Amino acid sequence: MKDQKKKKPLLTGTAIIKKVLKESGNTTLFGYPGGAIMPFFDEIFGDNKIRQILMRHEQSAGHAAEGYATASGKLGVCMTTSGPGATNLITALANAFYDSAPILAFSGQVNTSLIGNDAFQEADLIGATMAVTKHNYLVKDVRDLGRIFKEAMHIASTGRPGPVFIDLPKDIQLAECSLKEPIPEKINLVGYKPNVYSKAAGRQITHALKMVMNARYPVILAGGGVSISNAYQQLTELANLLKIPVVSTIKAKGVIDDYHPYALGAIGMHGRQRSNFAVSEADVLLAIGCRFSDRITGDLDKFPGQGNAKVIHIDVDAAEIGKNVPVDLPIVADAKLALIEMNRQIRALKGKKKELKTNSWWYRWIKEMKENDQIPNIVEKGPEGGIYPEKVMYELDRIMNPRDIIVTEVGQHQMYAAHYLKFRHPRTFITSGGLGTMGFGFPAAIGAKVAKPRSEVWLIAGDGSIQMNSHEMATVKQHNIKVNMIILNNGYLGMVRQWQELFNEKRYAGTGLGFVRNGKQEYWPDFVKLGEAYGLKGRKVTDPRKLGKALQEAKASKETFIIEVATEKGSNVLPMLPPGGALSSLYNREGEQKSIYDYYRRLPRTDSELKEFKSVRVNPIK
Amino acid sequence: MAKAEKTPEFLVALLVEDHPGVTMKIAGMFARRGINLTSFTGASSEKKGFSRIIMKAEGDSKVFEQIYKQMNKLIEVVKVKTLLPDNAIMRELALVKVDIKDAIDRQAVISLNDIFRNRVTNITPKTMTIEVVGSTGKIDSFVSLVTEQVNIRELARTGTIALYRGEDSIFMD
Ligand SMILES: Cc1ncc(C[n+]2csc(CCOP(=O)(O)OP(=O)(O)O)c2C)c(N)n1
Ligand SMILES: [Mg+2]
Repeated sequence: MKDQKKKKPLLTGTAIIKKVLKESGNTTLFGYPGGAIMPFFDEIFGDNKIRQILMRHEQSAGHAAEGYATASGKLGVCMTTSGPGATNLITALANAFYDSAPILAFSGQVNTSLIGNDAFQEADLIGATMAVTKHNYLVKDVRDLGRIFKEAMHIASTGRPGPVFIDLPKDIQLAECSLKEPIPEKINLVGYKPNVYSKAAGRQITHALKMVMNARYPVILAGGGVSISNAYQQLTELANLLKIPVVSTIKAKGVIDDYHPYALGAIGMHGRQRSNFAVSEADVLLAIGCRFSDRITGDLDKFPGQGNAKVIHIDVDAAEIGKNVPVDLPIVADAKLALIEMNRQIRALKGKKKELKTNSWWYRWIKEMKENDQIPNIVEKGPEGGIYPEKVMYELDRIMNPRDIIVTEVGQHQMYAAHYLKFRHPRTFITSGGLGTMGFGFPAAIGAKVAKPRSEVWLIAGDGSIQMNSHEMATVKQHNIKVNMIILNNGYLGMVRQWQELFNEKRYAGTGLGFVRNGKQEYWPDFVKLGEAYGLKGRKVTDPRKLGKALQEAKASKETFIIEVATEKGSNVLPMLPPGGALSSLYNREGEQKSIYDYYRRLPRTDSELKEFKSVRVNPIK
Repeated sequence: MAKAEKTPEFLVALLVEDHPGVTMKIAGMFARRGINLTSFTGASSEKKGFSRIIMKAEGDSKVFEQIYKQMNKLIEVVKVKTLLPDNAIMRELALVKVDIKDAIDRQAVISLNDIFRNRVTNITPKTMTIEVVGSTGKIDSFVSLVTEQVNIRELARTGTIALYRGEDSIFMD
């Protein structure tokens, strides 16, 4: 034996994957096993450097990976078995795709020799994931595996991030790789070079600044891209330098402190009136990292500034620029790099002069626009004996720490949270924006807590949404993950009920979750009892005065705690834009169709108009 | 009656990595965005592992811009370029099999072939198979003229292929 050099054992496919994941620091995996992914599960068995969290459904595994990614800013990883395991993941991939979250997902697949034979638990996942991923791969040779995993992680987390899916036949996982270097040091993707910054962008930024500084009412619109590229400091600095308002999309909550004097809040269908007013009055809109979804713009012909404002659009994805809204000045760049350059140019302009000369008149009205910003504290019950959702937000806002993370499901409760809660730090509000996926919230909250174990994570759920993935109560119990669950039980698929009330003559088809039997109103499940079945504690709150205490109890609890709040059945989240209506139109809190100009005045544009102008609000607050 | 306005079309040339499923991804992108593909050709290029794909689609400049950007986002797509009649050489090949009833038919088709400089690739007592090469317009007009004389039994067209005129090229640098 003495002459024989000891040969390094060859790495198997699963060993390569484990090595790539460990070397890149991606050691938290959300997953669900099955025949075709057994080799990989076996590989990580007993490895104390890898944390494998067994969810109770593959969709949840995907959402948990997204919650983890969004809370931490890192890659989220999930894995499933072939066939039904992988098809169960599709919704989560789509959700991550529309919200540009960096996710690496891999699924087992039948052996390469069986692909195309309709083998047991075979499904064409390359075809099925194509429309909902940034990229996907089918691994056909174990020698490609290391490269593919490295490429996939790179593609998922750079440029405009998104989910990347890898289809992984079982025989490839088991095969030994004959390459000397199974994991290449460097990867070279000829067709993928995200344009994060260029000289051309720098020149465009100079033009953009000119437009903004010459404008009377320029407005900054911050989108999710500002959060994704971690550009919050730069955004705040820009607002401070220019003294112009910042409005945001719901995916950008927290990128600027809600208490910042120039932060107006979200725009769009369920946005704040003052934000929709600001954009309706704007003459220049500086949009950063947003994609102008129809929920944000309302009627495109009247967006922004009644259709008369100039639009500057900064986005790392060139395909978003000009897609929905015509753009006067396109800037293809990463939000952070663009804002750093913009701030640099402003500081250079400012030079030795103490004040920067802009034409903006916003500073005259901004204070008045931010008046009366408190969450209403409605202590009475509603006409049907329920607690007003506003009250839940009021109490939660009082108990919340600025670093706490709020995760929502989808529906009215989501919009109440986005509308009322104050966010002071980025990545503290996690919600399904682009796809609006009921069932996203609970698993995403689990992922967020795993990423940020020292932050309190509050889930705001509706009674409908929570039932889409309530089985994850077993996961939080098993893995001892603490989520403070607040279930707003209004007995309805409330958001749809609201539309039926407003637009379908109150024909509540298929939206009641409770029912009448033998003359008695019934509702199932009892969410606190459901929690008990999973070994979790909880409390049902029917008295608004007891809400605060219940929240304290949840906070003090060592494990997941369920608060079921009996909220008012008929309450609507208002104001809202009528579907298809302009950003300046709205249903007010009484459900009447109004215009934003019933509440705010057209802003003066000339010196003589300015002289006449007394107050922004039609009914000034005394 | 006013002539119906022709839907505008554009021609896109791609250089793509030759992976399984690439054509599906590209064609899928058009389908998903509701854009009509009128022709699609793809085969190996001068570089090993890369294919050249030429597509024609219906749409105005806004549609084209969106397609151009979306194509650029596909990881396997290395180059995307648009081709216009004045900067590109475009060709299409058609195989046309016509029914021949008698000598009159045969003579009529042969004289059309002369005008169009077509080649006859196969002939039987009852059919003639003709190879037509040229612009899409040339093939269209041959097809309509030959239909006036005889019945077309089968028609296969390759769709347009194109390269830049002169020294401009779409290749990997
Ligand atoms: C998976 C999925 N199915 C259906 C919908 C449509 N939808 C949007 S909001 C909503 C109602 C949500 O009800 P609930 O969770 O009780 O919240 P509420 O609006 O009552 O606060 C429905 C059905 C959706 N967004 N996602
Ligand atoms: Mg509900």
